[in-house]
Amino acid sequence: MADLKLAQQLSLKCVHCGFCLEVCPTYRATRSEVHSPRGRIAAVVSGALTSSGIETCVYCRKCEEACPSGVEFGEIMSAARRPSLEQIMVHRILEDPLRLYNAARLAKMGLPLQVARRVAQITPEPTLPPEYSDPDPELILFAGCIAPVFFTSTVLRALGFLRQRYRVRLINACCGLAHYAEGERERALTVAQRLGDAAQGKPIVSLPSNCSSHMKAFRQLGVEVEVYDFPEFVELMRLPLPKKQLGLTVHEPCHARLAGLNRYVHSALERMGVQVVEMADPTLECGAGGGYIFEQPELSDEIMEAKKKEVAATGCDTVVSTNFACSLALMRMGFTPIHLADLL
Amino acid sequence: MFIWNSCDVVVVDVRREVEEIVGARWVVEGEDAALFGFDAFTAVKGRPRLVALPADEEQTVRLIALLYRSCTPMVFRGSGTSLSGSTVALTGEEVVVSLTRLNRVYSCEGLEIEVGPGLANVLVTRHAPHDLFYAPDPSSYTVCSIGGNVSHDSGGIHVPKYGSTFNSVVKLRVALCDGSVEDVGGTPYFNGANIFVGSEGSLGAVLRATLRLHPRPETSRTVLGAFQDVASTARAVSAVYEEGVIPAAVEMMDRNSIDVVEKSRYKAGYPDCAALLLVECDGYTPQVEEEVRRVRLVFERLGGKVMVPENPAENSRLWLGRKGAFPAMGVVSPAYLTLDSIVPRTELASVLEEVGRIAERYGVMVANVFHAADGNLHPLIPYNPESPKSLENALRAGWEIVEASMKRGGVPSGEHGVGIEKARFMHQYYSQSELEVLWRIKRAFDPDRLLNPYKMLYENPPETGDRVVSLLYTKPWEAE
Amino acid sequence: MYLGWSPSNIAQTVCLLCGFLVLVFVDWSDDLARLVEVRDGLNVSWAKTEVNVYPEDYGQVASVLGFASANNLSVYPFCMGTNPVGPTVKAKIGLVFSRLNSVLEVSPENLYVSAQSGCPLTSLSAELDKRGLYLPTDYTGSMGGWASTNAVSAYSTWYGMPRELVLGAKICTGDGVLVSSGSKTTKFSSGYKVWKSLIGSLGWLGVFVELYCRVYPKPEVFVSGVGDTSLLNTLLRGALRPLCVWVVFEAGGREALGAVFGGYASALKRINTSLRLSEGILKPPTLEGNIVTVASKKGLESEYAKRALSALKGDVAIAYVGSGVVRLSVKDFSYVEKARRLLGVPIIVERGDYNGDYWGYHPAVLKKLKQALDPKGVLSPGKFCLGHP
Repeated sequence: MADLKLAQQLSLKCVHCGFCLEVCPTYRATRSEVHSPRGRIAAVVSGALTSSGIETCVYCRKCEEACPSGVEFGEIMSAARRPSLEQIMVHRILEDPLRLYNAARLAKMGLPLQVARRVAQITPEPTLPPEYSDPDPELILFAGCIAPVFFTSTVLRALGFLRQRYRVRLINACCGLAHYAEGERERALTVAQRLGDAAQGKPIVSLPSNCSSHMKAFRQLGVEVEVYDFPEFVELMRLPLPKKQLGLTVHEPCHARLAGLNRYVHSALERMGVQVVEMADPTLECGAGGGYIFEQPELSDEIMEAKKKEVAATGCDTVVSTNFACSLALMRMGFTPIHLADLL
Repeated sequence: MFIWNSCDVVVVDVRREVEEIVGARWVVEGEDAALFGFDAFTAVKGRPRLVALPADEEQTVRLIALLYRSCTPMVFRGSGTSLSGSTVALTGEEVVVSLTRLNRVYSCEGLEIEVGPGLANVLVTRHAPHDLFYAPDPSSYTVCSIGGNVSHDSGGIHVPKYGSTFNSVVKLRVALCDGSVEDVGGTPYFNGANIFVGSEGSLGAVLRATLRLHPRPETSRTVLGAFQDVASTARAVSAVYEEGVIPAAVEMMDRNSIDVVEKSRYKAGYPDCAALLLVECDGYTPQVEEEVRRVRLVFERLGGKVMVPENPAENSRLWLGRKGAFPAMGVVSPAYLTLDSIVPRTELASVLEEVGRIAERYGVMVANVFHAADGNLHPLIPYNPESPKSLENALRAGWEIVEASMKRGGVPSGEHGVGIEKARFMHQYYSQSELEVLWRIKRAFDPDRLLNPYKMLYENPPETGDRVVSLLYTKPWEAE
Repeated sequence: MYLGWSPSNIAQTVCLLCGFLVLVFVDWSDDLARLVEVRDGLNVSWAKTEVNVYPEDYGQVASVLGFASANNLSVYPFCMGTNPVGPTVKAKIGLVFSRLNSVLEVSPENLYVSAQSGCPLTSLSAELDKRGLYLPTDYTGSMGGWASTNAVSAYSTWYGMPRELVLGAKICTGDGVLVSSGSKTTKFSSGYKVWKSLIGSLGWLGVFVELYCRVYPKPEVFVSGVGDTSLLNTLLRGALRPLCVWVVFEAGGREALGAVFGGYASALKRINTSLRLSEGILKPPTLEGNIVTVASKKGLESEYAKRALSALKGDVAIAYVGSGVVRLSVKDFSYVEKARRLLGVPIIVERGDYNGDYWGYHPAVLKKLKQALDPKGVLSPGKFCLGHP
């Protein structure tokens, strides 16, 4: 259910200055006011919730940083949006990695749905999500929804690394970011509560950085969890890291940036002696946007074109990406994305 | 190319022809079109009949020719950040031609860079060689378009030393109403580009601009002066020049604007004072050092407390506070009027005093932030967007401030343009015979008056049924 | 009455006709004399007029132009005639601004000067000098001439040309309407920049009667330098930027660079450069004879100067660095068309007799401005052409 009143309330702060335009990936792709944060807010204010602007927002929240008036754009989108039946279906699938595995296999077999075709296009071969728990675990390794199925080796590496020092329980689940972003706020709350319960008060080390960022904000939903992003945990605990002679570049996922998490990736890489070739703007939107990459194929591809140029300019083929939706996008662009965990 | 005598209202299916030129994906209509109907002058919201986003110069020219010969009024729009309402679709009949997709950088040679009108101002410097920069930097420079800058003759804080957009325009490629394209400018004699700068889209569209770049200065230093009264602050501005200093920027903030900034996310730690001056000197280090020394002396002589930032971070913070002064007004109210009149420097103290009196009379809070070296006031008047009475009150206070400036030898608009906001003042600032000459120019380029109608020049007010619009178009001597 | 063609009848008719013609001639000149002082016309290489008029105030300027437009009488506006540009103009009325020669206001606090268009630059400079100010130019004619020719000078490197320096003006249209355009303030976004269109338009669109110009505090010291052209890049991009830089190229291959620095004595007491320095202000040479102006790209004046010198088979080329202007003295204009095609930039015959197209560009924009500002086309006919000749 869209909460128009809340969205309009939050929109009052907007002075229509337009400072948000040039940082918005969809505006940069189409140059149309409809696909700009300012335009989206105007649509909300006038009650035009069916504007194509509202469904095409990537929810990267870059605009919030550029906004001089402190408009909470993410909240406005979340409140104004109403997920379609298809989106709800996708959310339910994401909540259960086994369901995702089966759905992905069906898609790869040629299920004649637009979303399925896109999934088949974008994703690598799905594998059965691993399950693991040490007896009496002291921390949770949260692998998210995409990684257990499409980046299983990364999950296993991270697990192996942490098990060197801790008793770990692996949780493959959804953090609810996709639900929240696309307007399924109540379900997002349910998912968050479920996760909070499953954690049983243990600290959560989360592999996908955007999920880490979303979970760190669970307090606002009334759910108390102790969450660390994987590189954050590694750095805060000063865990010993292997030396790696490598040259690569680093992509900074959007929500991770909001939570100030990207610096940990850099310091970990530095400790490992890795040669990082910085992009001119490592925070440039990758085009994945969580489910966006499946639901808005045209715009997503256009945004990816721009990111591709940016990455290519570094001359690197390997890109560190601590968020798996981003990794899917980077793969589609022809690069080799790796998580920090893949280096361990 | 086209032989046409007068526009032909009769046959053309504008919408279908527009779609044929730009492609269905690039036509916006219905509710989404309303998103293109207004800009940063939020007091008036319009609704275009249609919006078209051409991909390149060729499509743009075909669009203009089509719209003109079918008697369709049109508005050229860039980033929609005009503070004077230059891109508002007032009557609902206008087709908005968005030039945002014409955002390429075509070439860069010597001190010249050639760009499309849809390019954001900040990207000009970014595409220039490292040792050169593009000087005109309005506060909205991260998004405002070059086409918009040219149309308004936008300024920014570096005007005192580097001039406004006009000084940086070398050549223009313009599209005229009959669909012809001309490259003008770039010659010392008979420069056809000059008339387009500041013409607010009323003579033609800018398809391309060749801009001049400046070599970066060796050093840049900031001196802040905090004064106990406004008169000394204003006096300090002229005194700085009298010392032979040519500052790169001189910005002034009064007590109200400092308070607002300090309550906002732009909090800069400004000292307690009646008004402050932020002076930037740039150039050759020994020259700059002497300039800074003299500026400090001037400030101290006039009873000001001097503060010099100790590191780049502090320097940025001081300037960011100034640049954020407009949006910081959001802490007082999400809606505010931004005026833009100019007075000679020697009238600064006097006009500020009168602004204070006007503010009191209308019961509004006015925050003054401005480009002191140019005498360019930006009184910021907040109003309650839910209350038409509040807006009207703010507008009237603003009018009196504009009149106070004109009385002192100033002009109604220094850099934001006339647009809708100050159209009424054209009837006060110019005599009837002078206005007639301006109309002659307008008619020579736009005989059917379809290019951005009612902006800058108007004879009779538009019929919109909007009370605010009728108010804005009341001529100063008319009763309302 | 029957008029046979007898010798006496023929003589009478001829006299009658002459008298009629004299009457017609005397008619408009007489009418004119009621508006303004009329004297003998001009007959020099750059202009020919039947009569000259000497307005004493702006009202007279407006009346003359109004009268001229109403009666289709061509007008050639001028003052000191020190720097004629473009083709020779033949006009009925020479509009001389020499009586409108005052400096009206000097404002050191606001850094502007207000002067009538007939005010000689030398008088203006003297007034400014008294107050420690200066107008960065070395033009020797009148203010109106300076603005109408958009005269480049070595100072244009840093300060720009009249296009940038004139803040506003009172102008008069070809049909006698006085318009205040721009202002004394440094910024103006309040309507069409009519005065800016007149700058460099040689009195063909309208005339200046009063001008407001930006002035600068005179630097404490000026230091000049001469040296090798290889120093150009360092000078332009280096730490200490000169106010003036020019390069002189000669047909024989000689090249020489000149620069002028200005600033505080303390800042300029030690300049790190390979230029040979001297105190004071050096100037680039004055060109004589046939002169061509090349509109180069800004920052590339030296390159264009060299290319133009060779393409035009010129004698001397001066690159006014940073201004986008190169001027050359040439023996004749036989290579102008070829050079236009070769260089791809506007090449203008500035001074001399040329039976071809002086300008090489004819934008419709200028035609529209002419239509608007001088509807009867009385101002300097032939100075600028609207179509290809």
